[in-house]
Amino acid sequence: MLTTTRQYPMVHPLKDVRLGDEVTSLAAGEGIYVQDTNGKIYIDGISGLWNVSLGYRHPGIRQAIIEQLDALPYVNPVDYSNPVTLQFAEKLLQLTPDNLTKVAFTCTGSESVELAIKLMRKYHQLRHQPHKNVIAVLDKSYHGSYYGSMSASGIDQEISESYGPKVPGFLFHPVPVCRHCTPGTIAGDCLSRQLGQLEALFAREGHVMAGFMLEPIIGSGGIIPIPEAYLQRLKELCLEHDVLLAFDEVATGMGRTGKMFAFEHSGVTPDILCLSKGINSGYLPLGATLFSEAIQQAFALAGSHIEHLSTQNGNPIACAAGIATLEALEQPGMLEAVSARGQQLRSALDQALQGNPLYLEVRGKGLMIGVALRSRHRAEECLPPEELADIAGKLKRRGLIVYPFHTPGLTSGFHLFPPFIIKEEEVLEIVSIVRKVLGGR
Amino acid sequence: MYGISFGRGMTIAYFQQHTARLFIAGDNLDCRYARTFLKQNGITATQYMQNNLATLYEAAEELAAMGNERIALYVTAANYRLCRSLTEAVKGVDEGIRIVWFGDGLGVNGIRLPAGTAADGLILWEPEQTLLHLAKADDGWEEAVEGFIPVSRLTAWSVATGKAVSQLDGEGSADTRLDRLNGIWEEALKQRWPVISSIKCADRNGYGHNIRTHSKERFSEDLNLALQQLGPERQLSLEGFHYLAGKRGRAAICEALEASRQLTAGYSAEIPLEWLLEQSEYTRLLQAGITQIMIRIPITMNKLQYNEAVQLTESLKRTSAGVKLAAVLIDETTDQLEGEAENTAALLTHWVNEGLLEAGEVQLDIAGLAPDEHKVPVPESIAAFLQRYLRQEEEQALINGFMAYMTGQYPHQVLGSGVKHIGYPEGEWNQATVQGLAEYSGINSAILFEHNRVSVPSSTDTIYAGPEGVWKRENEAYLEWERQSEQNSYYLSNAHQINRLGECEYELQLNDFLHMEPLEIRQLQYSQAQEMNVAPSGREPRFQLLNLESAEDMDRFLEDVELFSKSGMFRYAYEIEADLMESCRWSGVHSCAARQLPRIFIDGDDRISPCRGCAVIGRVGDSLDQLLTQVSVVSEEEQLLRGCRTCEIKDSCSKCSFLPEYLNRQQYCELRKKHKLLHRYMQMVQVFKGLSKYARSLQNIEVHELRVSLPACTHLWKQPEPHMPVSTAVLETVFLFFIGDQPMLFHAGSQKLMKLNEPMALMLEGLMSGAERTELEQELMARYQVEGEFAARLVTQALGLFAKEGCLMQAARAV
Repeated sequence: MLTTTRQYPMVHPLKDVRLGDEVTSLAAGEGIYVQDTNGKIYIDGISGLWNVSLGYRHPGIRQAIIEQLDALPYVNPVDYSNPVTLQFAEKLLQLTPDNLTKVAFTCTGSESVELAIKLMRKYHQLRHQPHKNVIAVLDKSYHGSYYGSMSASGIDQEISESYGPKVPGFLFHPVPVCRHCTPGTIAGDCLSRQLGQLEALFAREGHVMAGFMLEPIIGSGGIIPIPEAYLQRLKELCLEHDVLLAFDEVATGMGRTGKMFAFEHSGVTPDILCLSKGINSGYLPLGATLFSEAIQQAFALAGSHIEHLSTQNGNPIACAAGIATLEALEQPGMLEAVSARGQQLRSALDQALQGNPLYLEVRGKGLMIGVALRSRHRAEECLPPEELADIAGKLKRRGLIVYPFHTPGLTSGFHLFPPFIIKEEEVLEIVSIVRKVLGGR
Repeated sequence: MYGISFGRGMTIAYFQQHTARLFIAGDNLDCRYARTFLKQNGITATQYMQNNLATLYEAAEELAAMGNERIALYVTAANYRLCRSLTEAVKGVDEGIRIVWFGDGLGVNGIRLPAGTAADGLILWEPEQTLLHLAKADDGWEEAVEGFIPVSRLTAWSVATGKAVSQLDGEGSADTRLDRLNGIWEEALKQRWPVISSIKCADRNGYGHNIRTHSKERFSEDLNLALQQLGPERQLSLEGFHYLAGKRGRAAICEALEASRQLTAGYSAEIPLEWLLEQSEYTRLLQAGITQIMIRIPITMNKLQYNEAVQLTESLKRTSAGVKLAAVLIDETTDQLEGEAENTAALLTHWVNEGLLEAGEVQLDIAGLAPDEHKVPVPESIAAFLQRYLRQEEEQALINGFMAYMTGQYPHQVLGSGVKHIGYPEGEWNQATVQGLAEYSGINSAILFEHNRVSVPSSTDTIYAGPEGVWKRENEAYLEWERQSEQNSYYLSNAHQINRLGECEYELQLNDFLHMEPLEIRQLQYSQAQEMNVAPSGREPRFQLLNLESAEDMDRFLEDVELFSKSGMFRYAYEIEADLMESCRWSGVHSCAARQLPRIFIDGDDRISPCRGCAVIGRVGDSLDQLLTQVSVVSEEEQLLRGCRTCEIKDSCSKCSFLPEYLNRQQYCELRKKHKLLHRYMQMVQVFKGLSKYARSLQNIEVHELRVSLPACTHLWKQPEPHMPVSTAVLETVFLFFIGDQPMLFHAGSQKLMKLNEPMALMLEGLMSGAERTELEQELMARYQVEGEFAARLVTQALGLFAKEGCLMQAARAV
């Protein structure tokens, strides 16, 4: 007879606190696979939580961690530096546009955003423009779960509201989608209207805006790529109105979209760049906020420090893993493979699901993919969350881990963020599982 | 290396019967021994675990998706039929997957595999080692592997039938081979596997079916780890203890048990009758800490054995204080002399009469059955004993399922994994389309044949024991369905009959199970119930069902609802004692589960409806996905036509989309809008039904003693103005009612039942009616003549308590 007598000791983030032993317990991982404590093997279709981008047991990262662990596991980031952390900061800056000249290390994506918010506001304070403290964000964005980043997140506001009062001063601008186009395909007149709304926002609020922060591809909100023309116009407007542009590339950065950073697709460079997740392939907690020379100068001229610290910022072991991750990402053909596998996965899914009444579209860039689903009986509506949960559960039972998204009134479906090392035949295996689960027998 | 090798490991599956004919994919010690051994030898071993099994096809897909090309099914008597069907289904999904069967006793008792079995072979002994060889075998499994017999050689294999354990487990044949399998408990601790409340003393899996045991030292180590995981509050079951035929070995195990007895609530074990007959041996077992004993009694015994056992009665009674005894009948003779069942029946009767055995604690040893033996006929004398004394454990899970089928009320957690119940209201299925049912029916589903013509139940007097561990009575109709299922390769999970006995009287027959008390049903039209008030006619039936079949029934039903809405009271006992058929239709939001198709009804033309007597959504042969789509489309269209999304009662109506003939959509909507508290009435009935089962304070309560507080009907607080909108501050999950003058609060979320004092009840009623804090204070001052400060303190205390118990809506908590 099987029973459980132990009290389940922890709560899981964003989940019902009553959840306990029914939560799958993972014990091992290798490549794109993870294994639970019963021995069942899954394809980790979301790379942990979009972070284990080079898969499990990556030899280079593992070796770097071990070596740094033996050498020096921790350095006080306030008063000391160390070669590994410095080297990693330099490497990050080498990969980014010249206007980004400094790195502040954090531990998480939420913290990177937290710091970006501080920088945007303080920058204008330092320049004697204290009225410029409003930060515009998109209304379907997700930026994190700390107070600042939660307050800046457009989705799940009804939940975060009850943790109020939240950090004030955020302005939620509609994400550029419309009812005529599926998310991510907006163009023509529809796009023009969205650009008009953006211009109106700046005309109306530009004088009080400190910054505009967005994800170049909306992640948790349902993989909605922001059109390049929109980003380009946004950059122009920011320059015109002395507004800082911050890209939250926690999910999209570090190769996920087939380029090192998603902003490279549009050529639009930010003043602040938030990173985490894939920064060291998710092996240890690490994030970074890169910012521009202008911001650096504003602080320098005032002789001010940046009021931000977590004990583990820039941890040398985490940075060693970051260096090893960058080395792997810089291997010839790696990012091209991300693009190619992503293209293969999107095409194969699209082909396999054509004609399926639940299927709406597949979206994304590189290996950041969203499979959008619709109501089986009302094609214009999103798949209801309970049916979505059922599908995610079935996919898991068939050995594929996905992450569902449901943005009411806009889109629902599931994410696929497989590790970059995925092989062609493994892509086909994912497609086969999805096809079977969505299509029945 | 962790040895994750996608596709090259071994998946192990054990379909565990958690109650008769209902399975989960679970785990047991044999599987853990095998899994740990494989892992230690570098083979990925995966246990298939699933508490909510869907259809056979889904389970087969999931097994195939475990990522291994080799599957080992743990076969027992109880799950044999399921394993056979599942093996075929897995092969249908992927014929490249190789499947081997193993299990304690599989080799010992033998198995007569039907022609064309899909399994690749059987493991006869040493399953851990044999599975390892098979996992490492690169190609086919035709090569000779010690302990394995491939399917190609099965025809030539002489079945090792029923070799009695007593012939095998002499002192010389047992060895301590189990010691070579180590690390099981350490692995369980490390991986935080669910606790198994048993430990292995011995098994029959040795070479040539020899008994394998542990050394005393190793057993002690395992025992301490097992007890560490189990905790001191619970009993530990000693698996295979009865195989320890050698006294020396048994004594060593007993020593280890005794040394750790302080760490446990006790041990349970099966022991042969002959050990009991030896007084010193029995005393030793008790000293070791064994507190629950299943005595293995041969189904036939000779007079000498009988006399010895009877003579033992007094001494057993003296020495067994605090020890729970039960009997396990074993279908084997332990003596060269021909035994007689009369002696066994007489012994059981004697022990029951002497209070040594509980009458219901007599079971058959199903582990000893060959897996393909469907039935073991029970000798007449044993059958007579059973019929006289047996208080069989009711198959509550199956009965709950039946009630869900009749009322349409399915718990949320069971939805979404195949159809639970398939009803044949016309009493017969179409033989030609039986196979098509596999598309819908889950591994744990049931088919219900409703016989509406008065007929004599088709059971005979032949009683037998089934592999599920339940006593059965031969049932011709069931046998026929079973035969037809076999012919059509359809896995028949459960098949129940609802037989009409007479006017309004029915009997529920669960499968071919032996019911000591018939499961009688009285099914009345609602209007009849009111006239008769379900007048008792001698013995009360087990189930009382009320049906709304006509406009007259509806009128009577709504009269009861209306009285409740106005007075908070019930007029008739049947309102709570009986169950309303299709009550989902009249209940609150989320009560309708039709879109998940937990039940379907099939008529004589193979047409399928999601609810009793309503529109057709497809026919047998359609895929489950097609039916799910169609039921959603029909439901959505119906709700659109009615405007459910913007309806004033959208948060309290089940929005039934499948109405019976006597009711059209307009009538339904009008009724629901007119009787706004209908959903509350249905909730309250369910609350009282549940509480009367589990709460002592609500048992034997007369219906007239109950008064329910409603926002518009209070018993202490001043009555709200009629037709004035009430803005309640109390959550829907909170129920306030009075038993006589005693106020009671029940919270459906926490399942807490509390007695309240009158002022607290007054304040809760006030909050229900939308009263503000100051109104509460004023009412307290006026009613109880207390100072304002004291009243304010009372209100603060009450709000604090109600908030702490989660009774109030969020805004009210900030009062």
